[in-house]
Amino acid sequence: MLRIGQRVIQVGIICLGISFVSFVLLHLTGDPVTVMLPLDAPEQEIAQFRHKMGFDRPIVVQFLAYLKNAARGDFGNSLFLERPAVSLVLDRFPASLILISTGLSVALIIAIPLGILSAFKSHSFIDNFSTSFAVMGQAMPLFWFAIMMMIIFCIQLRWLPVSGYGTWKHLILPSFCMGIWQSPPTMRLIRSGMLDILSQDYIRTARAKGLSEGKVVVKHAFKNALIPVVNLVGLQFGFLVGGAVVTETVFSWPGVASLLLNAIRTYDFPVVQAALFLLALLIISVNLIVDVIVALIDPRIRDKQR
Amino acid sequence: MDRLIEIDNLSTYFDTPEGMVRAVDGMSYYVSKGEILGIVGESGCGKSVSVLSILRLIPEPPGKIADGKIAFEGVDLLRVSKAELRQIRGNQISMIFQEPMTSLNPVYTIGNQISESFIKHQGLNKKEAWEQSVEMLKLVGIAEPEKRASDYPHRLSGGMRQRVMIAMSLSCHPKLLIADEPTTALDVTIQAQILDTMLQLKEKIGMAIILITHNLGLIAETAHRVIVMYAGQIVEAGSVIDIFKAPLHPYTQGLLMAVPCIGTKSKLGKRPLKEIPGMVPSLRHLPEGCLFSPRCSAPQTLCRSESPPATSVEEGHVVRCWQFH
Amino acid sequence: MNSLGRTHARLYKALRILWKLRMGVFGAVIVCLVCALAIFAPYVAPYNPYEGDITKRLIPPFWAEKGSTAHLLGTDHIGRDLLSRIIFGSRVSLVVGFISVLIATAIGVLFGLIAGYYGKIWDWIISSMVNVMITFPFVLLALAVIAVVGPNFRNMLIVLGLTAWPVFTRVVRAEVLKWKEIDFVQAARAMGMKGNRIIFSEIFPNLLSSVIVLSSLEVARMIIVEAFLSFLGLGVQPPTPSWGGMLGESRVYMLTSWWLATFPGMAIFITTLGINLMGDGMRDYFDPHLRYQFLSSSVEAG
Repeated sequence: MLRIGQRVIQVGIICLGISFVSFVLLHLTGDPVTVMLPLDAPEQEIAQFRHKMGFDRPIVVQFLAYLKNAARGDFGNSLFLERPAVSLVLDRFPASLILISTGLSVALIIAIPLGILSAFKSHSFIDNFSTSFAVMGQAMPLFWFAIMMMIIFCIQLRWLPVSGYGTWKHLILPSFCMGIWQSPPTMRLIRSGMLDILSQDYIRTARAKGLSEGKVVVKHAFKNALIPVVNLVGLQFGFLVGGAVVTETVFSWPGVASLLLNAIRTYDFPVVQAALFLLALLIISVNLIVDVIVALIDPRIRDKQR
Repeated sequence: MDRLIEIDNLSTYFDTPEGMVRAVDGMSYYVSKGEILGIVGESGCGKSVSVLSILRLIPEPPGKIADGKIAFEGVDLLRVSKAELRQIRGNQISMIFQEPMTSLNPVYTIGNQISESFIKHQGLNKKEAWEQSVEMLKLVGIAEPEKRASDYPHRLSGGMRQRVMIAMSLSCHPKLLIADEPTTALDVTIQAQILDTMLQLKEKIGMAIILITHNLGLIAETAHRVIVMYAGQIVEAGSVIDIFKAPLHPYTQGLLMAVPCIGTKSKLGKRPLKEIPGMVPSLRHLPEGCLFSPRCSAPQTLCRSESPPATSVEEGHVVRCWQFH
Repeated sequence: MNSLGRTHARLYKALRILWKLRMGVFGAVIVCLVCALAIFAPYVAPYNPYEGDITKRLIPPFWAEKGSTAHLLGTDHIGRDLLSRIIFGSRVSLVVGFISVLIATAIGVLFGLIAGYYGKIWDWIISSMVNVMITFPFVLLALAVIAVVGPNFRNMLIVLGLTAWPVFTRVVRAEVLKWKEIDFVQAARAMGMKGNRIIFSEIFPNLLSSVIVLSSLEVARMIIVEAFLSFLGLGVQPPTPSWGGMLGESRVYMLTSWWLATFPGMAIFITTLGINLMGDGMRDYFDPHLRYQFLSSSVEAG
């Protein structure tokens, strides 16, 4: 239970941190109004705007008000669309979630078997192949890979649609790109984790008891290997959200990340703040779930809190 | 004399960056039904490797059981199929290891891990296996066995974990138990208890034990016969009485003389501990001829050029030394 | 053994080590080539990367139908030679990579040393910051910050450095904690050596190898991040040639001019691969388990 308490505090700190930075963003240039209004706006309009947005109040007051509103989920309206920023972001959430979770699944589907096999048959052909794949994969920039895939599959071969959202055909390439991009580090981790575990004494004990190799690997080794992998998935989620920015942009996928990018470009601050905040919440929740799962697998952690 | 298991010319090599290392080189010995055979030697002499080879638990790259024959109940363990071997492991031949702290899987309960043997070798279902496991825990002297069975290994002390290991390995009443330094990692007080438990169960089940240790006192107390190993070879083998009363090989003599004895100072005056000069050779750079010759007190010319074969001096007493050939 | 024999032996051993680390050596060769290209760009590139001939726009690479050997990799939408732009683009990538990592290393190592050595509240503050920054993709935040402060070279360097330091802190802190308890450090403390001195004279040298390996791998990552930023238009601004920027510009012409996207990306890929291989090689070299293999007495004494 203590662990959950710790996590909640961390959640609070992260949100505070993100809010602080987002808030500071606005005031980084000194006068936020200049960023938000066109340069040649008349003096009166500027003053009105400033008052309306509350920029004439002391900074601390502004920050506290901002926090209070953020806690209620109120980030103000988008500067361009006359709708609450939060609802704009939430509208695009499902699309991003679909993309990220599919990408994650693809990464795991590739990485887990390859990782286990290469650990098991260390230094064999499959091990060398997977390691080379991992090394090359880690050098590959996602946006280049995405564009290359697009050129090959959408333009040259015309098998898949170039962009858009709606059918599984639209989902294949983007999620595939994300998945392939994340599988090398995952595979390497699983492999090194498995190698480490397979050399442990308790594996030798299991073999000495006469258990079949299958049982040794699947029952004894795998559960232990899951621990670092699940932890990694938590971290990966953060990377995937970052990768989503690229993928959504290249494939014109209507998700939160591309919305964020657009908002950044157009200086639509309420949307930027709302998006960052909600993404942070998402990542933290995922990490919390990951922590719970790890505690379920590893009994030693459960007892550590006593 | 009923021979339970007979190891003939076992050789196990390891492939290292520096070349092939002969961890065990041409070892031959046997264990009779119901007897306790001790294997002594310094660290790195090949004791563990030799018994791991019996159950073929050597990691195949970089290790390799290059030669030999192990006769057990009419089959050659080194040539039998993997499936048959697994029938024997944990069932007819069991093994316990040196490090109780790491020999149990941390993510499964004790009961689960002991049950595995029952399920695999006796075809019991989960419930029956669990009950039997609790019985085994009782047998090895663990208090509150029902509660303990649901515990995870990290909750138990080293001594208790080793008892669990004993419970696990004896669950199917094996004919042979291999104990590789079972008490070395434990407190001295616990050591005695663990050993007692092992010996009690031995009587009950009627099994033979191969006991590996570098503790000569332990061998003197518990074993019937003993093998002395040096750099991958057996240098002397015989009954405990023969070896301890009249050791023939210079190495064995050196080992026994090196044991500090209470009362020496008052009897013989202050004197330094006797040690064997020199160091155990690295298995990568073995000397020519007799492996012990560089450290021997009375080497002959033959010793430096040719390795002596194992010679039988009298009934059951074997020495590898040119003095007795 | 005479001195010539000894030299031979040492040379032989060095070559054996290099052969064992051949992937790392290969990576280092690539890195050197790229650095050479960056330094000698004006002499190596066939054309001026800023000048383009509109009449010669969108020419494909020389092996394609309408290509010509005058422009080996083709030209872009303004008629600038792609090969020359790629060669000059290496300058941007390498400079950004090295400097931002320098900043990140300086901050990260310092924080790591403080957190690890002085512990308690400092550790708590710094570790919390590290945890926060590692879980959230601060790249997103970096994007926003750059957009606001203005997308130029200097800002990018600073922001990249500021988002990359947590990795260093984490590694350094772990190492410091490991070394803090080691006997010779305790002895130094018992003799009255002051904290700072202990850090710098005893602990730091041991950290050096991990920090070096990590820095090199981070350079690769920074190059990709810079490319990404330029791709989005928030990094190096046109007309300065940058691999990411070129990729970004190529999107519009993807349907017909595939080479505009392929070659700049390949440049990023090859450079990153080289750096990663080199970094992995260095890590293998410094690994105490593997060092034994290299220092073994395979060359017999005498």
